[in-house]
Amino acid sequence: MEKLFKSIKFKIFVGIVALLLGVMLYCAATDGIASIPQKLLGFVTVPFQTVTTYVSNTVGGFFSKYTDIDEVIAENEEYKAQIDELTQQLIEYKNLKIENEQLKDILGIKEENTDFEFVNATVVGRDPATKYEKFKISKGSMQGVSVHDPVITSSGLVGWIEEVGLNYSVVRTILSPQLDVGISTFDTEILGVASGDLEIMSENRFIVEYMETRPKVGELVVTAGESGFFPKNLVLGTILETKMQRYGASYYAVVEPVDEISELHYVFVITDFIGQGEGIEEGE
Amino acid sequence: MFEKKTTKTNMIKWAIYIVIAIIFYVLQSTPGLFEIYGVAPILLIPYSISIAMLEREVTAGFFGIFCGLLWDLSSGNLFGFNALILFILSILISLLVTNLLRCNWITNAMLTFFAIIIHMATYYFFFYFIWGYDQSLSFLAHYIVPMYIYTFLVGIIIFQLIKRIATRFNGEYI
Repeated sequence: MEKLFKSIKFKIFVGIVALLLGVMLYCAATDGIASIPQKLLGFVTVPFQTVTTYVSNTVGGFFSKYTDIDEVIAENEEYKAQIDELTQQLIEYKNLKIENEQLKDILGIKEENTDFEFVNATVVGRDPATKYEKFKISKGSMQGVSVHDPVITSSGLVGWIEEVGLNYSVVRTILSPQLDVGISTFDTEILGVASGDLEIMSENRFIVEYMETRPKVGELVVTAGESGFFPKNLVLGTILETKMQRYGASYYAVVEPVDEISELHYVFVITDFIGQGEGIEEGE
Repeated sequence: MFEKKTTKTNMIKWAIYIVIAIIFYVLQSTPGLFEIYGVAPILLIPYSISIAMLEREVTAGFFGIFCGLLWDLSSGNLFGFNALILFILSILISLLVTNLLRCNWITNAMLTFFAIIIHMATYYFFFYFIWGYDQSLSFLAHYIVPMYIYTFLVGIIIFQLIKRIATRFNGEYI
């Protein structure tokens, strides 16, 4: 054993450990800008990931028709019961129509926000360990994507860019506890902070905290647009339930995002919008 | 002549190992692939452990770093974290198998289990526990532990595959 510790091999191993620690510290200090080895590896592997993701999606879709047959039958039974219920709900059609118009107004993001500059991207990678919190997309700094750009679908906000490589970026999703988004409820305009919660993250839910008054269940949650990171009125999701916070007099809500975040295939990155970066202090 | 042949054989073996690592990386990071109840395995942990058991410490260390860097790339976590952990684990396991343990599926299962526990503990500690997230224990129990159990089970198959390749180049293992 003593021989081992005195050998050149051991000294080289210790050197490599020190080098890796250095790389980690450098990456931690660069705040989302991918380091040189990371950029190089990412540049090489992203095309392979794009191909395999396409194959996986295609093959998965083909086989799921057969493997999910029991599930489909069960779903059909459920839908039959729902038809009766929906007939009753037809009376509420007019109200829904009005609400639908409101939704269309919000969801028609491009028409209403002519200042937005978009880059469309494919989801090419999702690590098993962080599948709800992060995913990798096929566009990077070469396509004009920058750190902290908002990432959306046609339905609403799904996250922001946390890290940028040459031809790829890593998206931090709204399900992650590490992303805080200033929000407002759409009708009642109650302000709050949306953030991920580890317990409900896998159910495709996140929470909104620090709301001064109790919001309505079913209400839409949209970006407040006051931070300079996100444009105003991007839809985040619908409130499912509300509760009083354990300490203090504020309320929190459990929210269902507009999309199944862990199953997204295509997203848009907003690379520019009016007000982007305004009010953000250096190092924030 | 013999030296030349050995070097050539080693180069072919390394090339095969590198290609397999890249294939595993791509498969691991492909959304939805191998998912059972929303959980997918991390193929690169058992792969690097298998190589560590079947090769000497230099090869083991190299593939520990290589697999770790590939994983760091897709995980989006602190770059170098997985490389460091897998490098240290690979060296340790290689030394253990070279000097103390036999190389068979039982020791592989034990060492993979040991490596997975170490990795899971450090991963949970640095990325969840120290940040003080609410419900991080629940997340550990309902998502992280199942993912590592799945990884462990897949590891048994991966070892058999890598052992077949290694045996072709290195001869039978005792």
